[in-house]
Amino acid sequence: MPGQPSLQLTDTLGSFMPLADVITLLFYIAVIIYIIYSVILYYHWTQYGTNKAITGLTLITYSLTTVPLILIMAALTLSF
Amino acid sequence: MLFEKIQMEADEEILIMVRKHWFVIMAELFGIFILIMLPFVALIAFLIFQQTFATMGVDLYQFANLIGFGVAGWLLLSLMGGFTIWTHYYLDLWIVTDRRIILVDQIHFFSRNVSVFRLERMQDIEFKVKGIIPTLLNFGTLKAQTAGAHESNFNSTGLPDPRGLQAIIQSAMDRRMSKLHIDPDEMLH
Repeated sequence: MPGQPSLQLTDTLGSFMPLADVITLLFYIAVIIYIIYSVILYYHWTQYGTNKAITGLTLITYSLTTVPLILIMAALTLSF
Repeated sequence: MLFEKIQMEADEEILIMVRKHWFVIMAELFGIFILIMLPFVALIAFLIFQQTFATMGVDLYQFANLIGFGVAGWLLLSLMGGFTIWTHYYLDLWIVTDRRIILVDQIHFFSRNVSVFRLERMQDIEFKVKGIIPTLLNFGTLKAQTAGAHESNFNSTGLPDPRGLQAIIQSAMDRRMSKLHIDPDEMLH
């Protein structure tokens, strides 16, 4: 509508919780899920894997692809 | 590692170790690939229709950090899904030895089924290749039944070269029977 102030996402979120707190909370939840999942994955591969090379390769690939994402999320969390 | 847990018998020889056909995991990982590409497709669409969004008063640049956070979280969950599929594929296997068949079925992370079937108790091994892709890529289902116990039947889908696998199991069974001096025809009665 002309003349009406546009609705901002930050305003909507800020009405019940500051955006920075929402992002921080989501980041903590993501980190907890990530840590639990990583432990489960590591346990399964070290316990039930049949080939040490494939186990190592899988765990290294997992770390190389997921740790940077966690770091990006951490950096972006601090930017709010 | 797995073999320390299975505890192979003395002089037991592994004839073949089989995992599901590569097409099975590729089909599942393709879904993950689509999920991974989704945010990038959305971003490309935004860049293409940037002017249209601008006329609607939508400026996503002011939410760049929020979108970046969301995309990173999305990719993290998608990758975790991909590694779950890979784990289930790789840890799910058939081990055929000269004495038994060991079936490791990794259903979920917390649901694992390990079955052992002795070759001298095996009966009626049959394979089924059904459909265009399984026929072209040579993968299918292998079914087998053990003597006297219907609940000990097993049925595994997506196995590569089921005909070859059936032949290997059949010849291993015959060798095992002759080693134990069992007439295979007696097993049927």
